[in-house]
Amino acid sequence: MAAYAVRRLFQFAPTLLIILLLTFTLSRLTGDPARLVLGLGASEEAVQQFRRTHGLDQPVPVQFLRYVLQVLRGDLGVSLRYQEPVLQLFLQRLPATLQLGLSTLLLSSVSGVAAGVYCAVSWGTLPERFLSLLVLVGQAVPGFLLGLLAILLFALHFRVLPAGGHGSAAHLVLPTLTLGLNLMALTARFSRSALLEVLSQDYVRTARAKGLGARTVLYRHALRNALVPILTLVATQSAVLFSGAVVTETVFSWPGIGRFAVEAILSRDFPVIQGTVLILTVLVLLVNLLVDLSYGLLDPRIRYT
Amino acid sequence: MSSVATSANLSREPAVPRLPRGRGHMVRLLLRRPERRAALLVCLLLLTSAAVWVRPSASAVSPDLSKRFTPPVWVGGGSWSAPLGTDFLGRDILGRLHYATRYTVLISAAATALAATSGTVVGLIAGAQGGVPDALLMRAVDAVLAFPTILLVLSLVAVFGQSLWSLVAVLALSGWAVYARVVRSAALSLRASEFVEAARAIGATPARVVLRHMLPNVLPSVAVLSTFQLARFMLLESSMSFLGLGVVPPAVTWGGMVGEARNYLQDAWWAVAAPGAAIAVTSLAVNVLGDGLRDLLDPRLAALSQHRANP
Repeated sequence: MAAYAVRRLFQFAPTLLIILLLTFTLSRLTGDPARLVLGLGASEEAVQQFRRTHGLDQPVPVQFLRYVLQVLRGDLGVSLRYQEPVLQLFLQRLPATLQLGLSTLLLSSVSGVAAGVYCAVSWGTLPERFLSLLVLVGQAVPGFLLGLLAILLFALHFRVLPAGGHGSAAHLVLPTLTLGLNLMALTARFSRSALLEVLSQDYVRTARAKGLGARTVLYRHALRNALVPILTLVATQSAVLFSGAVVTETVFSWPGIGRFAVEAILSRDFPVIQGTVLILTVLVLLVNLLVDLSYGLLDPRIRYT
Repeated sequence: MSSVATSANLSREPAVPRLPRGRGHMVRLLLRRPERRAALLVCLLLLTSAAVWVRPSASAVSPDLSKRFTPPVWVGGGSWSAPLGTDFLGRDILGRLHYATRYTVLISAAATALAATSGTVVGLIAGAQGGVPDALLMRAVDAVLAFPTILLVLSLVAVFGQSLWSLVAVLALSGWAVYARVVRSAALSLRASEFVEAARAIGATPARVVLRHMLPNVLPSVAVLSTFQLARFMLLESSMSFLGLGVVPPAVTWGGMVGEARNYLQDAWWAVAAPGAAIAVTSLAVNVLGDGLRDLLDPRLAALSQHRANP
């Protein structure tokens, strides 16, 4: 286990380096950083001065090294639009995104697993077909469309929920549903197949044979083992959520990282784009790493070789 | 499992019907289910609509403010001159949908082709070569797959501009990694298989082994993956256009139409509903066909589509 963890960490390092290389390239593709920061009207002298102080007159590999060291120190640059450190702006908007993400994850995992268990016990029936349909629709309908439909129906037609903004619990309902519907359907279908697989195993038959009640077999024996792959899926989804939040937050004017990133992209605020992409990507990598490492803790039968 | 399969106990197993070979039969098998026939019909209609290139009618591209917000025919106040109504500039939505079909289909199809080709090449190289190139390429795949897709494509478009081909390239850049991963793992298991060993033993060059013996065996997976990627690219492109980073006017895609109409949701819901329905129905149809293809060609890919999430 320890050896495996070390090896995974060694794999993590080159991936991280490639990501840093990509975000660094991104910043250089956008044109001369000096001109970008100082504006087109800046004098040649000021540009030269800026290049010297920011090390832009050095060879590219040295610049890359500087960039890596800067990032490791937590310095992600300064926003062109706000003239504030990117990290600070990011952290200000993180709570709103976490709020939306957690409520979505809660909705999708709890109701998804519940629906999955129900469908596994009563499979081939109407609810199960409905679930398959929901999965398909969830995959086919893009988030922004779902969001607009929700606004049209609940905010403009029935006038029961706010169409956008942030603050009360009511503001959370539509974005959560929009973001969570697809994930819920995926979780449900996945839990169904995971549970069905466990239910067909010998130890479940043994448990039934020794006279345990259907409920005990299902919850105490089967579901516990089925939860391992389900938890993996949910953890992976938490990474996907950040991507989904980009569109959903824009549709519902949610003041989180997703909308922040879109605004930065639309106004070509490259330090912000670079910083957000970097942080979110590293977060995704970390989640994946933790998921891989947690297998062994969740299920002692799994051995790392 | 018994180790000896006699003809007697084989004949007692009706589970797997013996299938005649041939392409025609595959198609019939694929189309046995009604929803797949419907999906194929939708896709064919779409391709025809994209291929029939009439000049966009004037009512579809040039604004006519006197006609703005005309509702569809079946709602009071609509007329047959604009069966699906008009948008906030008085443009005919049906004509515009037809005009946008070509861009939507072209962008996602070209991006799929590009991603499939490059990803397959990378996967074959990594799988057939092994060693250091494999390790390096797979770390690059990890890195690309870890990027939040929508943010990656949006920021690349911000850098490279919003031309049609830059959109295609950016989408492909976000999509090759999945192919590389699937093709590599297939190539790894093919490399150890006996027929590849035999080919090598009779003196086939490495290039020949890869092109004549491995490539044909990974193509079914690539085909299945491509249908799903096509639908994904379409959704991704529509999200980009919706956010204002798609093709620039006068070119337009379905997602762009939704984006334009978004601010007039209260006055003209139909201007969102029509392109929205086009996106949903098309990607549903492509997904259904993809599921069918997967069941026929490569059931192992099912695990992959479990994690398929919406952009």
